[in-house]
Amino acid sequence: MLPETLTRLWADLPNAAQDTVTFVALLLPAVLIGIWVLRGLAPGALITSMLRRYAAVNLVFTGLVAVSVALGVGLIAQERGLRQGSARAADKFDLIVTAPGSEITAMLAAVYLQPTDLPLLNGAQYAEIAGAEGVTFAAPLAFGDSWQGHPVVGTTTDFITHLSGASVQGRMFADHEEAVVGALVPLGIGDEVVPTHGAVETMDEEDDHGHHDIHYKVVGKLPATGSPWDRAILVPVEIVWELHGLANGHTPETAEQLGPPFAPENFPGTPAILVKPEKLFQAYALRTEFSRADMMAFFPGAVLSQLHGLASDVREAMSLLTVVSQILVAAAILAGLVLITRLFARNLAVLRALGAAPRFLLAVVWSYAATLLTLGTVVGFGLGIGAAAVLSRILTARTSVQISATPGWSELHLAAAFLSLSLICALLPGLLAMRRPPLADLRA
Amino acid sequence: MTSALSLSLRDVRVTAPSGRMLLDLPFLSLPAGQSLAIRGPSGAGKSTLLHVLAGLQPVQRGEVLWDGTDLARLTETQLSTFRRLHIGQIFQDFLLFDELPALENAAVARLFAPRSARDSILQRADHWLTTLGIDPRDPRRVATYSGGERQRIAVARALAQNPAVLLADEPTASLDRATADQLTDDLIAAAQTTGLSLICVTHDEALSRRLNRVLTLSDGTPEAAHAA
Repeated sequence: MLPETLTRLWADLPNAAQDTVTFVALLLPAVLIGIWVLRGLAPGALITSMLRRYAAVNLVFTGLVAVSVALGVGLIAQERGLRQGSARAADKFDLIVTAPGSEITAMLAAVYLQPTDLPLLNGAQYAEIAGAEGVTFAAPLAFGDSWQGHPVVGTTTDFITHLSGASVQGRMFADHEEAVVGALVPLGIGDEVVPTHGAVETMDEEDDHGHHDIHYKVVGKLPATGSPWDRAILVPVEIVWELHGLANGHTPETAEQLGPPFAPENFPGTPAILVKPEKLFQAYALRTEFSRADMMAFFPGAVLSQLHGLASDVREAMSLLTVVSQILVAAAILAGLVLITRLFARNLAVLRALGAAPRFLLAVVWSYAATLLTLGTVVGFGLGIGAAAVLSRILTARTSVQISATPGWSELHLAAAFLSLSLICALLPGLLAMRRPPLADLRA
Repeated sequence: MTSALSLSLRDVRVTAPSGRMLLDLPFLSLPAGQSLAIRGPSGAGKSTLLHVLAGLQPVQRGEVLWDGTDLARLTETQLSTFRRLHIGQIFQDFLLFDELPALENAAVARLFAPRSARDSILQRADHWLTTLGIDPRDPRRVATYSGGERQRIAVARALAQNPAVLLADEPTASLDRATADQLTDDLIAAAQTTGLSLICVTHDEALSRRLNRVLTLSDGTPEAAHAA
């Protein structure tokens, strides 16, 4: 009965309260040991003396602890940053419909703008999707061009409005040769762009081989979304089709029209259609409706969850490795502390000879170890978060998925657990020092 | 000051783990407030006797009584308390904490003393350093002091505990003559001022002559015990 009540009480607590209680519970053993060991004693001056005397050794020990903690903290922070960043990038993509194939490949192409070859959906299929009940809009995507490594993506204004949250700086494109650029594209309103065929990272400016004979004029700029679309140049889907010698999706009579409705017979095909359902429950109905032999519908969020589920196994294995490495480092530090205690064994023997109780020696050795371990843990925590932040910047620059590694409760829990465990272990050299007969060290 | 203690050793025997006899002392007594020089060649058992008197060296046989308290019957913690309350020690190699300044060294006992005793230990450390010519406010670490200064800091550390007995192991051994004589004067003056018992292991004739009694050991046994 009581466990059930406690379980329910725990479950009812807000997440922050649960995390705080866990953190305190993990740190509590260290605090209690500290209070027990140091009660009534004040070895601070001796600790300072020992820290100064063996500065180099202390630095090495602290560094070892810091690196160990940094590995664990950095790994957790980085993994969470990646998970949150990739989920945030896919947030605006409710439902995607593509030709049958790999959902992951389709998601990488449509959400993360990774160059891939996807089979196309035809005009009839697009018309069926766009006209289905519960669809707010169905935006076709067209890939294939780039400018200085920035993908040029053909789409519709519905999609851009949805992506930007209707806060475009400037205005939406209203002409075939106008473009709206992502927040990270180094272009301003009024600039002109000549796209290149293919997803070319860089191209010699004097070499116009592969350049299309068109100048897009930038008329709008999107706010940052934290997704690869921040690096994209968005143009009318019709012009992308035209540039590749295809019909532009409309009849000759409506050739100048931008966006839907498209004429199925003049629709050249699209690798992916982003579908915005009117209601959440309709998204599920639409996914069921369009998951069939000739097309595939999926939620990018669900695919990401599956990926994260797979990654969590890897994460758990890595976490285990981190814990094992930390235990090994703690054992090495413990052995080192036992050895370094021998270095100042004569000083400890003098204290015994002067009348210090054995417990005072425990307090001196434990406090010394606790100082090194606490310092190493704090520095390691900062190093881990710092390293994860640097790595996040690099990954963000390479993928355009906004990854931010900020300190979280998991890292604090890891650091607290490590500190508590190592401070318990640090009792051992103290107990050994207590039991050591002082006479041999006095005569040494 | 703690009341002076009288010493009484009866039939004390100490042997090394190898079985070699280190000390075999049938009887030794020293009235409270008296001084004793322990002399003898190297390996004679002088330092062993000093350690026995401090309760650092367990005895295999006999009694070591300070005012009737037998050290052999005390636990480690009780022995520590006894040393803290009654015994001051000066070591041959000073054995100071090199990274600490003079006052921190002289008052080191306050780190493990009860809170109620800490201030008085600090005040006495300050007093004895000043009396012995060391500036208690000097922030330098003691590693930078001369041998004579370091030995005086060690004396101040022993006296700051306000002991009833001062045990000194070759207190003048590493000092030049003038510094050794100065330290001898300081020790005698401190003993007379405070009324403590002073027991010195020494090869120094000048120091021996200044103490009340001399015990000469050879191979762990007394050669002679006579009034100086």
